[in-house]
Amino acid sequence: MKKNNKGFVLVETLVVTVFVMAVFSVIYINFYPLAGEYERREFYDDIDSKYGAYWMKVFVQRSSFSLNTSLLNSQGYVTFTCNNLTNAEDQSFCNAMWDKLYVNQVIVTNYRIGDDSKSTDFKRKAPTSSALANNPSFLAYISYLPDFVTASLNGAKYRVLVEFKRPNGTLEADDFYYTYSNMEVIK
Amino acid sequence: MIRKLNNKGMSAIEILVTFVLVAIIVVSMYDGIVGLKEKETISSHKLSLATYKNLLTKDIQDDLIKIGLAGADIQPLNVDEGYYVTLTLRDGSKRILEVKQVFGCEALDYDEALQVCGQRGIDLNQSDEFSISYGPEGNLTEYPIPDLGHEEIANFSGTGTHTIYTLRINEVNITTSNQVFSLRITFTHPDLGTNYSIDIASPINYP
Repeated sequence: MKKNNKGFVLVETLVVTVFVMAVFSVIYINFYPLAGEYERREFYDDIDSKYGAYWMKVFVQRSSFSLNTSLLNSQGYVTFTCNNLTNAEDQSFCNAMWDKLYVNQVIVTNYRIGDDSKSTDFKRKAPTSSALANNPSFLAYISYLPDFVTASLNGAKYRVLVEFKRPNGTLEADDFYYTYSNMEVIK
Repeated sequence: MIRKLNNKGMSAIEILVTFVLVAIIVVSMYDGIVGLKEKETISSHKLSLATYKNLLTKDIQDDLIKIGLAGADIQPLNVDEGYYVTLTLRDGSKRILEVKQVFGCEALDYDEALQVCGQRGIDLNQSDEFSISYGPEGNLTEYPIPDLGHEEIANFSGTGTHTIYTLRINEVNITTSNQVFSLRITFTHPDLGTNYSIDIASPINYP
């Protein structure tokens, strides 16, 4: 029997090359957004932000802050500012720490933030809420967070989500970046 | 049976087309690979700096959260060499934070050195010296700044070299205004810019 030793013709090689390049292009296009997502997570729950969220949690837990649970249950969250603290000393410390920790926004939610069975589910309502609707990076952080279905081991019923607006270390006033963190609240 | 071998080989045009195709692929991939290599280097620098920052920050934050801060005394370290901070904790113990920030002379030629370093009062043969130490009095732990690359510059005195690091402490800002202790140490690096910093704040004597 005569063996076929002709090999591939140029057209066959080109077709295979084009096919392989098309496959690589599809893989690249799908992989590239993942790399961006990974880079964004560098700014989620870093050590400075976790520390800042801890101090915001301390102020939320103070007895001089009364949490409006009916508003929290109806709209899924309440916004916290230092002015909500009725004790002058708490308010003064809170304001000073707010500035030094570069806090931009604090919201208090239920411990569990994702619950499809409830119409007040925070994750579902957040994109339409007045405080977050125009804040896509905060919304991206919220959607990145787990639902926290399992109850807190510490008996926490609430959660603080904190946005930080940090200067970039340059002299330009508008040169800054955002970081995010969350922490459970026992109140 | 005698088998006839195909010994024809490739024609000149086939070889040429192959070379052209390979050249196009190599050229189109070159930029991408160089870019990935740079990304890998930057990621490795980010990781080193983040690890360094986490180690140091965690030790300080643990004391401030678990014990609490009762007072802070900020003193300059020698002459223009940084800061020496004594933190008094609420259990009465003390922690020392020492930030050393000595800029070396980056100039490569003598005239530039006289102009740039001389005007800023930097010795022409001075090396960079950056370090942060933290711990109980008499038992400080030094946290050396990670070496993300450095340059040895020949001394203008004629012998030896002095070292300039690519990662430097850019700015140190320590205050105790409004009953809050605040520490901000900003780093600078040609690839990472200035958005890496150590930021710690703690209320003083917060009940």
